[in-house]
This record gives sequence, structure tokens and C-alpha cells, in this order.
Amino acid sequence: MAHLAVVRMELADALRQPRTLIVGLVALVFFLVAFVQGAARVNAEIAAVAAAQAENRQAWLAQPPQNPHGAAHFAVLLAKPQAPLASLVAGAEGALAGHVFTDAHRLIPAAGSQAADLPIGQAIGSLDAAFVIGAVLPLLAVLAGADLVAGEKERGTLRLVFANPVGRRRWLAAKLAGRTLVFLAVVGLAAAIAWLLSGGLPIGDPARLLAFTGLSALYLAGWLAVGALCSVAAQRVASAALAAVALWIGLVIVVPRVIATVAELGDPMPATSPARMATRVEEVRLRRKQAALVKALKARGALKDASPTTAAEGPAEVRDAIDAEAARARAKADAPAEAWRASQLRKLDALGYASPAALYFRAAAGLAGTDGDRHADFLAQAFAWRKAFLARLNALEDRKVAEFKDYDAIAPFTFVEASAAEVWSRQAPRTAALLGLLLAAVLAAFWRFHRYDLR
Amino acid sequence: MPLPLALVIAHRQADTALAGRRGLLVIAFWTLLVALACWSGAVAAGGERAAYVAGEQAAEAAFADWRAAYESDRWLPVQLGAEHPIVMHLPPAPARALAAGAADAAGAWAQPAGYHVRELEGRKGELTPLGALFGALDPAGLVAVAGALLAIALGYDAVSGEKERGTLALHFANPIDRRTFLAGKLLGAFWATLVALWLPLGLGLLVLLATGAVPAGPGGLARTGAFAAVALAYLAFWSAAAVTASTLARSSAAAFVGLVGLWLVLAIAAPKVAVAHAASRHPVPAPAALAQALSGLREEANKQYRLRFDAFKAQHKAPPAGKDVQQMRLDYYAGYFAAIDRATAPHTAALAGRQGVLEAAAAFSPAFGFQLAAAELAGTDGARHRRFIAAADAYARELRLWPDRRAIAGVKGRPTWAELPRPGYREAASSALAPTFFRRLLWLFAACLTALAIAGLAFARYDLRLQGA
Repeated sequence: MAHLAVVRMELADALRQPRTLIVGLVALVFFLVAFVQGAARVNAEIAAVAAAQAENRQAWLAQPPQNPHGAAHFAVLLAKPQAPLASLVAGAEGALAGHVFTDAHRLIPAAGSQAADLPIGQAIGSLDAAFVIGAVLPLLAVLAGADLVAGEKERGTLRLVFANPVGRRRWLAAKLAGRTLVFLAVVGLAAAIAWLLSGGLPIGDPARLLAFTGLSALYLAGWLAVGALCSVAAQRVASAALAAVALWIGLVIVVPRVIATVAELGDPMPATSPARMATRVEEVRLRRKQAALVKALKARGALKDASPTTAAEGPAEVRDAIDAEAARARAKADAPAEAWRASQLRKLDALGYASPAALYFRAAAGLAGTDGDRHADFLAQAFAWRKAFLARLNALEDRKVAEFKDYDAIAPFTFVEASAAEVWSRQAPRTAALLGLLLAAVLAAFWRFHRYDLR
Repeated sequence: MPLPLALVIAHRQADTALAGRRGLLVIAFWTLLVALACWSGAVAAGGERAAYVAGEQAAEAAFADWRAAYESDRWLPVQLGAEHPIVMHLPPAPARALAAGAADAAGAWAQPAGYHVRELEGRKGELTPLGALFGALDPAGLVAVAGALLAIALGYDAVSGEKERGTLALHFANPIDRRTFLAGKLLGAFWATLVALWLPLGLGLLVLLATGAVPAGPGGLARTGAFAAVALAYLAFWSAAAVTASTLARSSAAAFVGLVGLWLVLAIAAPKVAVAHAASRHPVPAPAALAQALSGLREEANKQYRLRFDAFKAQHKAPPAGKDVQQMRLDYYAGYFAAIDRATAPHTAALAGRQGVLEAAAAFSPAFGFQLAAAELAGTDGARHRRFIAAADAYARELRLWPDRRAIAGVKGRPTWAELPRPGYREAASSALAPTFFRRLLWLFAACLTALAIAGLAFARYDLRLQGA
């Protein structure tokens, strides 16, 4: 039971040490700032987007009876709701578009990124909870770990410990477990106090918050183990701390940024504007082609008793053929950018394993829903909604319904979030890698401590 | 002879910091980082330039294709405003390789086709959100974050280290006063920073200039030189802060921990807080809300147009045609544009307010001031993006109005590329940056002097002996 005594002593020690208080205070201040800013950033946005959507819906419902295709000309606002944990993880959301408008004929690109309103802010990044946990707290964690063994040695207490009947492995395990527990408890307490002081955060999905908390604890425990490894690798606290800080700079600050450059090496981003221009020209060409087809049909007398819209734009098969051709042209124009995007994502995903911080930021944004995956889901759902919306109204047109007035029957767009389990499973490989890193650091520390010079 | 003595101390301090394992490690690590950052900056700048050239070429070709879709007599003025494919490209930043700034997040081109240009498209961050998540490595970010930390590593034990080694009191066996000693220490720390950090950076910048990653020419040279100067001032601030902390703390370890804390607050947290404060102090309407408001206004404008159209029809027993309909459309645009201006005024005002907050923050946080200065010198700052967005917005309006005015003037048929109005965006001259640059430099010097003053005050009553020794 000697190792339990070590854990107890470590806990008692931690409570006496001013260092514990400092860790708690630093965490508290950073969490408080992060929570207050996160809540401000997200709450205003939620209210504004809800109001805009309500206004848009009101205008839709208030339309007078008209022919169905005329109703399809209404610009329905399809807005991306705030991500479930957007208040905790700003992620890449700032550079991503936020809404789509429907259009009866053209595919309007998604718009509304916040980058335009504070461009330099995107470069500097936000001080959100993910940054506090992903970058700031690891520094404190490695420093706490760096003192673990070398500190006892410098104070001369290390040799005294082994005067007791306790094995090296057990002692280190107890010591590491005790310190990790204290560190996580203090940080957790600081987060809880900051949460209360800031008045709470808008959280879309408690299950995701739970997953985020678990991921964060695993990540921080990993950093503490890395610090402990530095501690048993060095003879003095100062050199252990320096090595730990150097590792932190390398893995948290430098490597994630190098990753993006390496991914682009020999594979620069293609110009994106030519695709847009080609698509727009193609749209015009197809509309001219459609007009010619309709004219030919009219000349044959095929559109004699057609509705005004059918008379102008042709029957369903003409419209569908033109739409399909436009979609093919769009896909062809977008192909280079899409191919680049896919290859970049593949590379960035693989390179992310070079740094635990990159893994953490990626996984946290994934859990929060502020990554590219959820954005892609939104675009897919919005464009599918638009397609169904147009198809429904145009079908009425084809059935020669002269007047459409049942605006209420078309339900507003609602974005369906991926389930927490699905999101979690997407991040499982990264979580496993973080767990592997923790275990590797612990095992390496044990191996090194086995032959550690106690004097 | 106080000055030579100070120089001797400076020399010895620089020697202690640079020679030995620590100095070697710092120089090797930093040189590697500078090489990476310059390479990364060069790659980004090259990509941006290539995309710009490809885009500009495609624009003229696309316009020709679009024009060819119409027979000359079937072309109507309204078609240019509604469906032209012209894309307006933000010219490559003059010195993009120095600082990524807003470049990846804010976009590279605008389609002046709607009624209001609020943002740019072609955002790299949208194509690869992961890249946006990890951030870019550029010389400016490197100096702001890692440079500051390494400047600390070179100077944190300047005074406390001597005390710990027991050599501090011995210095004062010589005829030397405390001020001279401190001045020597500071000079030594500056010298070490200059040699270990600034020279490799300068070398990297020279390589960028030599390889054309930063286009030379008077502008590029001046911008790179100014960047080097502001980087030196920034690093000097951290050097001074390191020596100051070493005269305030009881031990080198305490000085180091305190400095890392200061770094965390000033270099990491302060810029983020400044940005978030600017955003919450001056909230802008949510993009979706603004878009919805403009969409509502357009409905209203359309309604007015239809009323006028019908009134004309009732009065003349025929729908308006020719100049009548063209003038009616010009009036419609004028009314709608005025309504847009009214609706977007709070947005524009909030953006100006944000810029004001950033300016104030730049004065208080050396790291933020440095990063703003670097982005401005590189041409990747938010203000340049805003100017371009404003120009694109004005161009979109011009493209709506111009064809009808042209038709009223009696010109018929499809317009040619050469005939089109040109976008009104003009790059600001490099010399126009000078006042802002000197202001930012001045604030950095002020921060430096503050650190020095604190060091002087602290060292005047510094206990030279190690407690308990």
C-alpha cells in the first residue's frame, strides 16, 4: 500500500504548493476570457440569424397567390445554424460561408463569411476554450511534469523515498497519477468556476460537450506525461523545464503551422476564379440554348395551352436537361479546385499526426462542428433543399396549377446535425493517436526511470 | 571611463548568452525556423501571384466568350449588370512572403455582379478549413511568437545568473556603478539578440529579395527594410523585458517563468483579446441578417419599379421602351443603391470602429503592434482588403449603370472589353505607409523604454548577494 501513500502525499503536497494555485489562477483567467468572448461571439449570432430567418419566412408566407414558378423566384434564406460547440471552439468557421439563397434558375454560391468583417482577426485567431486547452494549458502541464522526478532529486528527497519499501515503478506510477489527477482537477475546477462567473455558454449538444471534455483531459494528461518524460531524461529541473518548453514550442506553435506549408509543397492552390467565370458563361450559353429549344417547340405548336412559365422556359424535360447540363459544366469547372481540396485534406489529415496539438485542434473542431465536415454537410443539405423546393413548385406548374397559395405547406429549411456518436466516431482515430502518445510517453518514462541515477 | 567598462560587460554578457550550448541551440533552432518561414512565405507568395495571373487572363477570355453568346442586335443593357462573368482580382500583396496577415482568410477576388459586395471569394480557408485551423508559418508570425520567446531565452539570466553564480558582487569590486553595469548588461542582451536572432532573419529576408519572392523594386526593398527595422525594435523590447525580469526576480528560474507568463499574456493572449474586443465592442450585423435585409429592400425596390412601369403603361397605352425604360432602370438602381447605403451604414461604421479598437490595442500590445505593422508592410492587412472590397462594390454599381447610360448616349450593340469601365482599385503607394509605420515603431520604442526604466529602478536597490549564501 506504499504507492497509495505516495499518491496521498502527492495530493497533500499539491495543496500546499503555491504552484497549484498559480496553475488554477492562470487557467481561471484564460477560461474566463475565453468563455466570455465565446458567449458574446455566439449568442449575438444565434439571435441575428434566427431573426433573419424569421423575417425571410414571414415574407415568404405573406406573398399573394401567384403561379407556382413565380413562387419559386422567391429568395429563400438557408442559414447555417451555429455549431453545437461554437462557443468553445471557433475552429475554421470564420473563413467559411454561412448562408445560401435559393434562386429559380441559377445556383447562387454560399456567402456570408465573417472573415471580411475582421480579416486580421482570422490570422490572429480567437482566444477560445480550444486554444486555452490546446495551447496554453499544455505549457503548464509540461512544466508540472518536468518537476516530477528531477524536482525530488534536486531537493534531495528522491533517495529518501526509496529507503521505504516501494518499487521504482510503483512510485513513479503513483507520483504521475497523483500529479495528473491534481492538474486535471485544478483545471477542471477553474473551468467550472469560469463557467459560473461568465454566466454559462450556449451549448447545442451536451453529449458533444462530454466528448470534448474527455478529449481535452486525455490531451492534457498526455502533455503532463511528456513533461514527466523530460523530467526523468534530465538531471536538473531547469534543463527538464527547458526541454519541455522547447518541445511545447515545437509541437504546439511550430509543427501545426509547418504542416500547412508542407501540404502545399509542390501542390499550390489553383486559381479559383476561372471556374466561376466559366460557370457563369456556361449559364448564359445554356439559357440561350433553352430559349432556342422553346422557340422550336413553339414553332411546332407544342406549347399552345402551356402555362406562362412553361411557354417561356419550356416543359419539364427541357428544363431538366438544361439543369443537368449546367450541373455537369459546374462540376467540370470546379474539378481542379475540388481535386486540390481533396488532396490537401488527405495530406493535412495525415500530417496532423505529426503533432498532438494539430490532432487536438482538428478533433476539437470536429466535435464542435466548426470544421469543414459540418460545413460540407450544410452545403449538401442546403442545395438538396433548394432542389426539392424547385422541383415541387415546378411540378405544380407542370400539372397546370394556375395559382399557388399554400405557402405554409412548404416547411422551412432546418439543418440536421450529425449525431454525437457519428461525430465522435469520425474523431476516433485521432483520439486513439492521442491515447497512444500518452501511453508511449508513460512507458518511455518508466523505461528511463528504471536506470535513473537517484543521486 | 564608464563607457568602455559598460562595453566590456556587454561583451561578456553577449559571450555568455551566445557561447555554449544554449546559444548554439537557440541559433540553430532559430535559423531552421527562419528558413522554414521564409520558404513558406515564398511558396504562398508564388501561389498567390500565379493565381492572380491565371485569373486575370481568364477574365478577359471569359468576357469574350460571354459576348460571343449574343448576336450584337440581341444584346440588352440589363444583361451586363445581371450576368457578366467578370471577376475582379485583388492584386498580389506587395510583400506577401513577409506576413500572411489576412490573406488566406479574407479571399482573393470579387464578382461585382450582385448589388452589394460584402466579402471576397476564393478564400483558401474555405477550400481547406484544416489549413485555416493550423495557421500559416510566416516570418512575421515567427518573430512575433517564437522570436520573442528566444529573445527571452537569451537574456532571462543576465543579472540573476551572475548572482546565482556568485559573480555579481565581484563586478562591483571594480570602479563601476550600478547604472553602467546595467547598461552593459542591456547592451550585451541586445547584441546577443541582434546576432542570434536578427541576423539570421535579415539573411532570410535578403534571400527572399534575391529570389524575387518579395519583388524587389523600390517598394519591395523599402517594405522589407521597414519590416527588418520593426522586427528589430520588437525583439529589442523582449530583450529589455528579459533583463528587466532578471533584475526583478529572485532567481533565474523565477525570471524565466515570469517572462514566459508575460509572453503568454503579451504575445499570445493580448492580440487575440484585442481582436475579440474589437468584434464585441463594435458588433456588425450577422452576414445572413444583412443579406436578408438587402433582399427585403430589393423586393421593395422591385415593387416601386413595377408600379412606375404600370403607371407608364396606363398613361401611354404602351409599355415603356428605349430611352424611357433605360431611364426608368437607372432611377430604379439609384433608389435601390441609396437604400443599400442606408442599410449598410451601421455595418460600415462598425468596421471603422473596429479599426479604431485595433489601433488602440496596437499601442498597448507590442506583439499586436508588430503584427499589424508587418501585415501593413506586406500588404496583407485588413484595411487593404476593405479598400478592395469598397472598390469592387463601386465597380458592381458602375457595371449596372454604365450599359444603360451608354444606350441613352446612343451607342448600340455588345460592349467590347476595351470599352468597359475599369475597376477603381489603386494600390496605395509604399510611401503612404510611412506615417503608420513610424507610429508603430515609436510605440515599440516606448515599450522598450518603459522596460528599461523599470530595470533601472529595480536594479538601483537590487540585493547583490544570494540570500542564504
